[in-house]
Amino acid sequence: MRALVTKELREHLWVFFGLTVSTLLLTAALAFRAHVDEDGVGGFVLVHRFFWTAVPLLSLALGNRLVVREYRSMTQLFVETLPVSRVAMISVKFWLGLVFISCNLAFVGLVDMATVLYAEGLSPTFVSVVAAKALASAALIWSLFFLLAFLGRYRWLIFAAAVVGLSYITSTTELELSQHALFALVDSRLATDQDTVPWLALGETLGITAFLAGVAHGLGLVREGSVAARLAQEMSQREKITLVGLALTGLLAFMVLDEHEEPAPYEAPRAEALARDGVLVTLVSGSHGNGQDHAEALADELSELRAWLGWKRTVHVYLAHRFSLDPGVYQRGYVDDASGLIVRANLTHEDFDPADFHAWVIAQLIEGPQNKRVFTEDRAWVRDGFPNYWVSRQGRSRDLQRGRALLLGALYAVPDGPEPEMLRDWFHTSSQLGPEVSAALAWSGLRVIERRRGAEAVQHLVRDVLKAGRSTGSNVWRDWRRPQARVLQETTGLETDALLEAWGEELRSVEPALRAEASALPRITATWAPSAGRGASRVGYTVDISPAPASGTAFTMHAATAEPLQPTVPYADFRSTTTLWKEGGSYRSDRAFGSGSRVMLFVGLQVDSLGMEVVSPQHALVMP
Amino acid sequence: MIRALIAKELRGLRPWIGLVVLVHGILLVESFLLHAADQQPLWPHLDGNLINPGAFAIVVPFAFGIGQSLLTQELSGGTITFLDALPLHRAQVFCAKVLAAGGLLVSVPLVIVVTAGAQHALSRTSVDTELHLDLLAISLFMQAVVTAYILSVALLAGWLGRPGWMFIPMGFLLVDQQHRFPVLYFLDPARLVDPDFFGDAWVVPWGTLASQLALTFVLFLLSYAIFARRGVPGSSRLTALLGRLPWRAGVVFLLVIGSTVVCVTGSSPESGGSGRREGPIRWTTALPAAAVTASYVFHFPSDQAQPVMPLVAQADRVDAMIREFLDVRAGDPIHVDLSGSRRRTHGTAGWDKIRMVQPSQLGLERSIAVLGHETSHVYTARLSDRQMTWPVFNEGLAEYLELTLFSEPEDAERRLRYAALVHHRNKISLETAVDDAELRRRWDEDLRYPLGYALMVSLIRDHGPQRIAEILRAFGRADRPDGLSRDEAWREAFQTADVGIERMAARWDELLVEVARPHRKVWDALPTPRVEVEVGEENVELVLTDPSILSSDDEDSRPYEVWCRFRTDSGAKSQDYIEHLYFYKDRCVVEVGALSGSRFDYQVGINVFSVRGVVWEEWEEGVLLEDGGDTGGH
Repeated sequence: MRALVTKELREHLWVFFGLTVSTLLLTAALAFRAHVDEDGVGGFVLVHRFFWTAVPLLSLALGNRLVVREYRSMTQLFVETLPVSRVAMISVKFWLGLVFISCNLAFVGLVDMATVLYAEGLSPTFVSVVAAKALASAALIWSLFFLLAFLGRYRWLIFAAAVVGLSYITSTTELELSQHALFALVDSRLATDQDTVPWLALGETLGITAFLAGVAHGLGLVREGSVAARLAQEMSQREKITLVGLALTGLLAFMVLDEHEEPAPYEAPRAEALARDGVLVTLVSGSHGNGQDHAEALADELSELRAWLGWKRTVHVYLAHRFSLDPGVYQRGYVDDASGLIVRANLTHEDFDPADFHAWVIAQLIEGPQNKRVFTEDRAWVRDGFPNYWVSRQGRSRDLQRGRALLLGALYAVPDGPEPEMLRDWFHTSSQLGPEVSAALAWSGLRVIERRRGAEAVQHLVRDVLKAGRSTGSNVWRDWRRPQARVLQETTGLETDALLEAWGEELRSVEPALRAEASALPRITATWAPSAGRGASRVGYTVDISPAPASGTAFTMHAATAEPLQPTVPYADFRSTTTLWKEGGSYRSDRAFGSGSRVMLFVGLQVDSLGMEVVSPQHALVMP
Repeated sequence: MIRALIAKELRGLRPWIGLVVLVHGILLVESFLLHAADQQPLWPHLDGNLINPGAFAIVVPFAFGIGQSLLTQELSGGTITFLDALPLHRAQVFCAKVLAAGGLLVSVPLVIVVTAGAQHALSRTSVDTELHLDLLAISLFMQAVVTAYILSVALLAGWLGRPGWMFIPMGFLLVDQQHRFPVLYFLDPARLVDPDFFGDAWVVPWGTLASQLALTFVLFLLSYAIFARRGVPGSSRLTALLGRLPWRAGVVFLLVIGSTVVCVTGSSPESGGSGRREGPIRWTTALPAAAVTASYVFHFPSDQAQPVMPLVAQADRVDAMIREFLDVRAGDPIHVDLSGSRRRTHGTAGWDKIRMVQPSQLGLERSIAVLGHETSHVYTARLSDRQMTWPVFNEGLAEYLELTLFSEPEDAERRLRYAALVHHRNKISLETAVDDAELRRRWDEDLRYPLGYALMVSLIRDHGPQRIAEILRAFGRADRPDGLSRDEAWREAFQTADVGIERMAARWDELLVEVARPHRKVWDALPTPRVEVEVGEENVELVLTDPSILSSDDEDSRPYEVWCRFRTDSGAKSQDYIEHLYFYKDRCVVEVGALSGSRFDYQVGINVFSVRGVVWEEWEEGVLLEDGGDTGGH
């Protein structure tokens, strides 16, 4: 036994020396860093940092040196000819590595102790607890790398597979890895926790260590060590290429699985869900005034919608109240790795409009991650028109006024009905008319279908459009084979041209007073030019509103910085500047833009009779 | 012959070709099957490295893998002798190898760019109908240059055998040090493929491109020189030595050294940690919005615009009234930040900026008054070039304009009565009133508001309203004499405006006495609260020596209530006080934990309902219990 130890030491003496020097250097660096960060006092900070940086590296180096090298060069055969057992040979390597790593760790611990003693004194219990945790964990790390070393050329592959498997298990199950084994022992509390001994974790660590060491010994002994020797040989080129290919294929499989994995629903604390048939609505922030009533109304609305659309269920909706929000302002919330539609609004504001809010929630629902194909341009007009269609559908007396405003908006957009390219190029149409007016126009299209072909035709169309599905190649192929014009014809019995003709007829047949009111609504054009100033450039602009509003009327300039080539910017990303109108006036943005940036701009005017903002066409400007 | 050579090299690269084909297959499956090819426009992919950042991750290891054997294998295997026997120059062999390997590697970005182009062509919508072929061509060219650059490094590294792989982490380490050594910027291949745009145009970094092309050429030349000389002079010995060295241990050693360097130098400024999550739900935050009027630019969150607009509509009127009083022309717009003000204040003002509380919290009328108050501060600062440093004058003027222009008349009368009551009870002179520190130390720094208001009333009564602006201009004029002390400077400025300080003080006294006269009897009947201090381990209690002043019999009819407050530093500003404490029965209590240090100040006062103000007695000092010590206080 002594001879074996001497042989290992003689063979690897300079490696031990080099690694010891590395430890010294790293310890000095960690101590310096701890001093700079001013967190070096108060516990075993160095031990914690050293453990997670150096112990795996030391184990890796020693495993390669003590085991892989021996078996790859077949020098173990010379040792086996000597009168020593194979178990002894393997055990010497294991214990030698363990002692070396423990000594390094102990050295770092001593440096830490010196610091702690200087600062605040140290109890023997604290030292014992830290030593037990750190040494047991180091033994586990070393035994893992010792075992991996016996797996020779496949060690990295198996290690990677183990890591991926472990992370997959932790992400798909409720296993909290941080509560077990070395993750519980050497966590952030190691440096300061003075007297807690996590016996369970300690037992797990020692048990796993014993298991890994046992398997490693077993591998070294199987078929008189020939398996380990064979595994230790270098990979052939073919093996390497095959493994890389397998890894890449595995990556692809992972991407596919990950893409289709839906996270668990958000768990709102202290909240109870209102359940309807296939619908769950939860009032997140407690019962604020009539918040519960709003949650119930929303649940009823969505339940009806779910049945109408033929969906099995809708995503869980979480509703929160925010007193400071303006009425008509609704916000989305997101929780990492959780599904559900989280929304908030000022539910108690006197001007809160439930129908408007429901329309917004429905728009969010139909644009969910499971339904990204709904964003294709040929579907867009139905998608934009449906929320308003739903909340102001026939039989809802309370929404008559809303229906009137939507009709006014449609007449404002196209008094004689839309041109064929307006539907085909819906994104362009929307950027010219603004989100609210274009949604009103789209709403009118659905109403035309309803009047000509009945509500069922609309239902069939919307059902078909909204089951667009994920953004995948198979859905692209499906849509290519069955374009939306065909969907329209199959679901409503109307060709696109016939729909446009009927659309025009319906709008032209609207009572003259309403048409006159629509034609009297203001139309906005704006001209834009960079306006050089001190430092960064601003945007100068003139606005023409016809008919001109009263002087001092507030209008809003919207500006957003766009990415290169980005054709449009979501309306929520525009920053608004409200300015007071003056006839023939020219204006300058209050905000400066960097040279070379692309700025998207438009002007909007809130029209009370319409209940919407009418806008000038979006314009892109490159700042000089 | 060169074609035959390339074909030979491609045969040698067959395993790599297989891998590259597999990568292409994965890319195509990912692009056309896993994702919708008609919803992948070009623009979202332009902000990162390359059109697909994954290309780097593929090209780098493949290049180094190929570089390990491309040149060295011919030499170590002795097959170079066969090639030398052919009617070929060594340079042709070298070129064939580089072309074969380079072509194979460039196929990765080529497929990526072509795929991106095809996806964009399918994804075009009515708002972006262009194909952007120019950008795709530049992207492909840049990626080809980067691929050649990486291959040139990999070929050179290949001469070192396996340790050559260390060039990869070393390269990353070097790139990470760009903030320290800017020259490394020119060597960073990411700079070529991480585009800077001017509008929609890719700004080609010509300097970096030239540097990297030149370096690529030099590295290829170096590799060729070694290849032509049958390897590095003495390389067989070097290779043998390297072979003997335990390079894996070397890798570990270098990693440790690398960690050491990172530990000592810290991370680069760009590499921040992940953002702190605020609560479990991350809400979409409202973008800042602005409202511009002739005189103001209001800044507020866009989701809280509704309560702001009525104030915006009134804002220019407010400004005009202030400017009319001060006879001053409009200057640069005043920026009003409506995100909130300092604690215990509704607004604060600077040279051209006001911060004030949201109108939704104040109400429109109060918001207008606060805007007027703060606007007067802005013009005071502008007129006097910030030389008027009497807080009692500044606040008095702002208070005067707020109360006379934007408040009810009875508010102004009440304010004057409050000033008279304070003056009547505490006998404060104007000399004391202009000393903010003295007011704070003895009574209450907020007395500058009512006392200042009284000063304005007396000044205007004596000299007319136009004299206020003249005083401010006298402070702010360019030809003021230098080298005067603070008191001399004040006196000089007031004299320039034809206002005598002594006369001003006398008129101020007369005004306050005159206002107090009808109320003297009532005010004299108001009690003067006196207390004893009881300091316990948990609480400090002020105990009224005469509890009858708070007898419960006439609680409803009592014209005042008794307040107390504490501070831990006699220089502390009022926003740091522990206040709004009332006497319950005969006691006012504060927890010891709220008082830091070993001593504290306490103050009692009566809140007189008729003037809506608190008349404070002078501050007293108390001492907290030491560990095991005695009760202190006086």
